Amino acid sequence: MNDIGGAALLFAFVAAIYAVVIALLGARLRRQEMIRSAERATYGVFGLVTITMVVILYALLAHDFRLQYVASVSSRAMPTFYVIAALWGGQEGSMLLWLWLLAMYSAIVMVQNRHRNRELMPYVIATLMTTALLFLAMLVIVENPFRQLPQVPRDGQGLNPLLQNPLMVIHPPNLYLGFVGFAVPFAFAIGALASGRLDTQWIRSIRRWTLVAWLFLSIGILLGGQWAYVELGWGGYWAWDPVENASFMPWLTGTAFLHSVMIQEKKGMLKVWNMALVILTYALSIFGTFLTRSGVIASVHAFAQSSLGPYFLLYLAGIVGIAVALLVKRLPELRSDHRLESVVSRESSFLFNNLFLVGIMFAVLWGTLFPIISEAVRGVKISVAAPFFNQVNIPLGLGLLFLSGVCPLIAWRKASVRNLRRNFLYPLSLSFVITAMLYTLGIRHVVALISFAICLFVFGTIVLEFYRGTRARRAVSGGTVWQAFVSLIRRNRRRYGGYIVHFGVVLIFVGITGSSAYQIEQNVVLHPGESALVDTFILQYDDLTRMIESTYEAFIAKLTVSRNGKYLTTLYPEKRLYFAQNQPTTEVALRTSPFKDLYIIMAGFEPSKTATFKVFVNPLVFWMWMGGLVMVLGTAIAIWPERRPYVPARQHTAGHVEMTAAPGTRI
Amino acid sequence: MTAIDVAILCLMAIGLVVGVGEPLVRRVSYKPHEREENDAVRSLLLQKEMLYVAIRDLDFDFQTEKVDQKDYGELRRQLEREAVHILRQLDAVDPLVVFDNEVERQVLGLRRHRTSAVGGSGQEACPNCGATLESADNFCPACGQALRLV
Repeated sequence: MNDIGGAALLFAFVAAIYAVVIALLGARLRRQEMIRSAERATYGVFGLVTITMVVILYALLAHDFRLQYVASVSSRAMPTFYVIAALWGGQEGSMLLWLWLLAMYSAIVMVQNRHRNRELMPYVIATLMTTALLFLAMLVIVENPFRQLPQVPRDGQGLNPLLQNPLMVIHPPNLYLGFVGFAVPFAFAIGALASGRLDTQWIRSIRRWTLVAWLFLSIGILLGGQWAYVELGWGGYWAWDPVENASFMPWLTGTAFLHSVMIQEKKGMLKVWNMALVILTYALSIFGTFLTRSGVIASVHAFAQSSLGPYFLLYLAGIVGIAVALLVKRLPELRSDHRLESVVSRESSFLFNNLFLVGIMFAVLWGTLFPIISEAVRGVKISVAAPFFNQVNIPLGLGLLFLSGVCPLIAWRKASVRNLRRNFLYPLSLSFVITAMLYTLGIRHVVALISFAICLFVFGTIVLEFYRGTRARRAVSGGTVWQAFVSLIRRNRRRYGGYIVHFGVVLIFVGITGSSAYQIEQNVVLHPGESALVDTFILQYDDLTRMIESTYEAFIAKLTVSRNGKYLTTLYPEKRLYFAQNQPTTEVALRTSPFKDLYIIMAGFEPSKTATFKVFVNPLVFWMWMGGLVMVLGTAIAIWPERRPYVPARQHTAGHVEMTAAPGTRI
Repeated sequence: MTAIDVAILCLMAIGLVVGVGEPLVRRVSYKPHEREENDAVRSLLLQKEMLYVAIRDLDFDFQTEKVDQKDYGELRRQLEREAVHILRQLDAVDPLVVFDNEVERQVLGLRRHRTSAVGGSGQEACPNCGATLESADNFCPACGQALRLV
């Protein structure tokens, strides 16, 4: 069985090489049958990698500890759920998942473009399969998942306990669906550059792909944040850790691309910039995988240490070099069709949005790479801590948030300043009044006040947009307010889906602001029966019990939480010791509510059952996760196929209009 | 490696080779279903659609009070001019429209011919351009001048 998996991987490697060669040859010789053959090879790669996945999964479920991979990430005692998740819990499996998703995406692209974009397709195939080759080469040569152990152990080591969390089961696939997804826009960009088909057609073909990749990456990042929050036990969800940054950077450039691409679609401008963003996003996705997988940077969750680094860097240098060379070659053909009509227009506000996003990306990149650079130059590894990132990114982030409120109020092409002033009036008033109220209620943190003010302003603009749109829709088509509202969204899914995403972003900012400006952290030492007051919560420590599970031993504290004399909940923070890895972990006890999260970790305990608790009160974190859900909803609306407006009918062309009035026509 | 493993491996290899080789051997010319338009037409169609969307957006911005009347009028006229320009170019290269024009030209020729053959009866001249009219005409076939209230 394992031989079949190994052979399938090898066959996939050969098929991918064949696909690249025959696709490029087909493009050169203009032979459709060669390109079709390359497509078949792409399907073949998908099929073969799927076989490999199934074989590994089978080996995991059958506890086939002959395989080094199976022995290192699973054990007999692990619940089946985590045994399945162990498929991507280790280095090889993780890369296999990356590869499988890429192969799946490639197969979908082939199906979608059977009759479309034929001139782009050979290059698209070649690009996708080259990316697949990187992972295939590493899997076949360096990190073969079918490597056998000289001696078969009786049991495996089991999955890293930190990864044994339901969020960890869905976080990597989501993140990878995002990372890998950006390979498709990149492949089409290369296709457009190589074939010279530089009009907006390629942009249309990848619009949904980009949104899908962006959506999965967003979900992946948020899930990762939530995992860090509930599993790592330091009270927060984001630490500017290199691996977090690795997923955040392509998200930033991807977001910039989603916005600037609209200007290319509408006005034929920013063609070079968009190409650059697509290339950058793809490069950052690969770079992110490199950071996570190569162990080049110490990180709280760079789980891998390996010798893959040079492969990634070599590939990255090669592919970016080719992309940039193609871009330079096509520069003369990528001139803008139009100019900006006015500085006060949505186009120019999008430009600012792009500058902010790319600015944040460079700040994050600099902070992430600085330790490597400093080590290379001065021989000392200086790590860049959160204060640097916060100092740079808070103002940029708030500026960006403000722009997301301003943009919708500005018309395309040219906004009339008088209207602009009028449009700003209500959101600004709303923001001013409520911020003043917050101030009188005792909120004095300057950055928090500014952030809440901007959040309110953006919220106001979004409401105003929906209100005005619904009113305009109702004036045209009549019906009830609800009908007009639904029809408004249905006719402009992209625009209103986008606004809903913005609303999600506002909620996320509310969560970030509340939890970072007003977090309370307190250490309490309690004997059983004692209680302590943290913020408004009274925590009563009842007892400490010991429990033995199949893979770990747990010490569980029981805390009764009340407020103003009223019982709220009972929380059970745990300390665990995993047998297989001999690794202690801390399980967070969490009571979440829209206003405040009560977050308790048992830092330690003595034989007398006296325990030290680290208690955090994190305001408004709840809204971060809600914001994530709203973002998913908004993106789903934007992705949903839109009925095409003004389907152009032949008889409506100018010539025909002219002809009806031309000589000889009786009316 | 068991015999079944070997059999599966062989099947995999054969499947791959046959699947990949089939298009090469068959050498059927895989014509894309959609008519491949030439570059000029395609680019014009894309530009046309871009303008339609721009007009739609402008109308919507006007309805939602982001553009005032003056700017709206100006921008709308400018976009319409651009759209007409693109449509004219499209007509010039569109074989369907070229064909339509030819048919119209021939019909007109035939009609003129018949008119002149029948000759005389109830003929008038257009007050605007002087072209020959038939009694049933409501508009001049040459210049479009309205001849009577319809």
